[in-house]
Amino acid sequence: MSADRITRRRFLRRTLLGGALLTLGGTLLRHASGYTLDPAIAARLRLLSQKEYLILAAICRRMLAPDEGGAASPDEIEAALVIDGYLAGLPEAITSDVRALLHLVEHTPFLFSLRFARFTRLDAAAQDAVLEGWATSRIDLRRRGFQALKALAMLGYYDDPRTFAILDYTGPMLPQALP
Amino acid sequence: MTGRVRSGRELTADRELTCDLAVVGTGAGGGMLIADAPRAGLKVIAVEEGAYRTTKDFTQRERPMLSELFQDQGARTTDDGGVAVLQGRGVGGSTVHNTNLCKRIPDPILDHWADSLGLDGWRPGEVAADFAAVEERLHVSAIEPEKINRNNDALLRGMRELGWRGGVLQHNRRGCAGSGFCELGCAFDAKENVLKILLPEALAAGAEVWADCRAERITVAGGRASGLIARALVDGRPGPKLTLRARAVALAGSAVGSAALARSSALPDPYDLVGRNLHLHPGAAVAAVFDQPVEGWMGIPQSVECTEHIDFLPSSPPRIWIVPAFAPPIGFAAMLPGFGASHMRRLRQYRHTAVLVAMLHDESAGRVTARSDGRPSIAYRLGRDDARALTAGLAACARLLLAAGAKEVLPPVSSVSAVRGEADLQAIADHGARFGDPPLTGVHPMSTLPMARDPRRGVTDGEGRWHGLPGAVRRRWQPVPDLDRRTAADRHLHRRAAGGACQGGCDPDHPEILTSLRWVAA
Repeated sequence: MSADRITRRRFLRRTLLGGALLTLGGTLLRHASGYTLDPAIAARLRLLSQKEYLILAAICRRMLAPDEGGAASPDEIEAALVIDGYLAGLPEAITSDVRALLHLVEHTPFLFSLRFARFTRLDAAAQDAVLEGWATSRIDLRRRGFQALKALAMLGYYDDPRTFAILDYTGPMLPQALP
Repeated sequence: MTGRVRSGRELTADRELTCDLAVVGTGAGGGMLIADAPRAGLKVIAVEEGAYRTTKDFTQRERPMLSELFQDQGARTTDDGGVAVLQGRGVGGSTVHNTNLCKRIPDPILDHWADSLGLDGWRPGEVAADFAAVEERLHVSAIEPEKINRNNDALLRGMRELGWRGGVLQHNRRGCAGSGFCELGCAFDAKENVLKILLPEALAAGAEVWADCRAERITVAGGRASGLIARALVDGRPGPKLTLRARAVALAGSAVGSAALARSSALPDPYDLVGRNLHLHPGAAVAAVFDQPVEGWMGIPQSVECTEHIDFLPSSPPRIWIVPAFAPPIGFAAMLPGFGASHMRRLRQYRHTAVLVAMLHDESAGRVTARSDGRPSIAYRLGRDDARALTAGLAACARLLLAAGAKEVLPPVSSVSAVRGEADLQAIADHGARFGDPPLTGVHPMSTLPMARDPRRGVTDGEGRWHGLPGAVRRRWQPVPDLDRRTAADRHLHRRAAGGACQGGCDPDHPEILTSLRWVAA
């Protein structure tokens, strides 16, 4: 593996800063608002800001995009809320990285994909392309960032018994394990 | 006299207690110590960072169990995020979530330790009785053939077809219901582990355990360890201080936690050895789809090993240990390549999928340090030779699965989407390993507190007494005696030992327990 001389956090901060400076100076500044969340959901957030939640929910929709099989949507499962609850129990050193990562995904489609809109404003195909760019990036820490987001999305979704049918999974043996 | 498990949540104000022996950590090493030390007449108090959970708490659900049983809720990684590091947290440590594999340290390793490190009493003949005693105490036995599930059977078939070396493993479990949720804690209390065997013995003998208390600093007075300062954790936030005044302190908080604590405490380390030389046994998983149902989540997760690609010889490239490693849905979905609709389509084959993991006995060495808040920082980067060995191991997994009858193999590398025949295998080996590609997980952190007679080579002697801190920090509760890595021979023998100690799941009981026993006896 190639040697990285910068740490993950430093990368996130520097790239976030650079991306923010570039984008906030132009198009993004005009679209900096507009993160409006259902108050009922906002009231249930434990860690993430409303903006961070909306970014995460958008990522989950693409990470967990259903195939033809009629699976429950991540919104139905409330995957992003589940993830927020999980993150709330983690050390700040980890959650600050995750939060920075969310902002980075949101505000760097221009930087990495030449798309002049933030992630949450892109259509599904463009969002997939952005995520694919993260997954296959030449930059080590972007790939790791993708994996972290993917792992979180899976955690928010596949612990719910409503998803077990997708897997043809019999689930826990303990009756009390299921709601 | 009867001890008890208490919680830091009970503390409403700072408190000070006195004991003979203060123990940090209640996993495989600490568990044996708190069970045996009271029998030697010592008053023992242990602190444990995590909570005290028992069988009724083990719900077989991944997300809550990740939060309850693992450090950082399963989200611990190396500093750069390159390797996920899974470690236990809670009373019982990793013995709560491991898969119960038990292996002895190979004889050549023991001889090497004795010869090169000056460790007395470690010859095979000198420890065989200790191994046997521990095995009897923890009811270690071979897995019965009828309990080998279809995921493990795929590995057996593959080895048989290829003529590769391997076999059935030994476990410490009794009354196993075959639920397959070993890694989320056993709801059927079938694990002969700290919770079931050693903790009851410890409490009966009068030991006291404080859960939800994180050790912050070992105190030193007059050139000796004088106790430790711990902090209650209430919903993850620091609470009142718990001070233990003790005649001796035992570090049994894992290669990561113990090293970080030793550094936070500024224990004597004139040769800058503490925390260096970290090894993780990083591994990556290879999935394969079969026509017939596998249902790998049912039954004992790891009952078979393949040792064809590990020869334990110095400087030898083959250093891959292969075992089945089926995961519940979250872990499986996170491991499976891709995302979105195509990812979900592949997940629909979950029931027909078998998974093997190639685990690397790594030569790459990392370092554990302590952050300003005392939490560990883990620096680790896989070296080129290790990366090459790892991808060769992934190709070996794929070959085994094809030989077992898989119709398609899904390697965890971005350059190869699927393998359907021998011709595709070379592409996996050629992939090399880039950062995060394949994704790596390390479940066996080790080697950060070396043991050697010479203080220039180890921070403790062969009995675990900390050099330069006489009669004080007596034991480094690593799974195996760690070696100075100056020679290739040392490295390989160490890896072999570590592999023997740690294979399978996250926590092999024996060597740690062995050293604990010997310490108590001393």
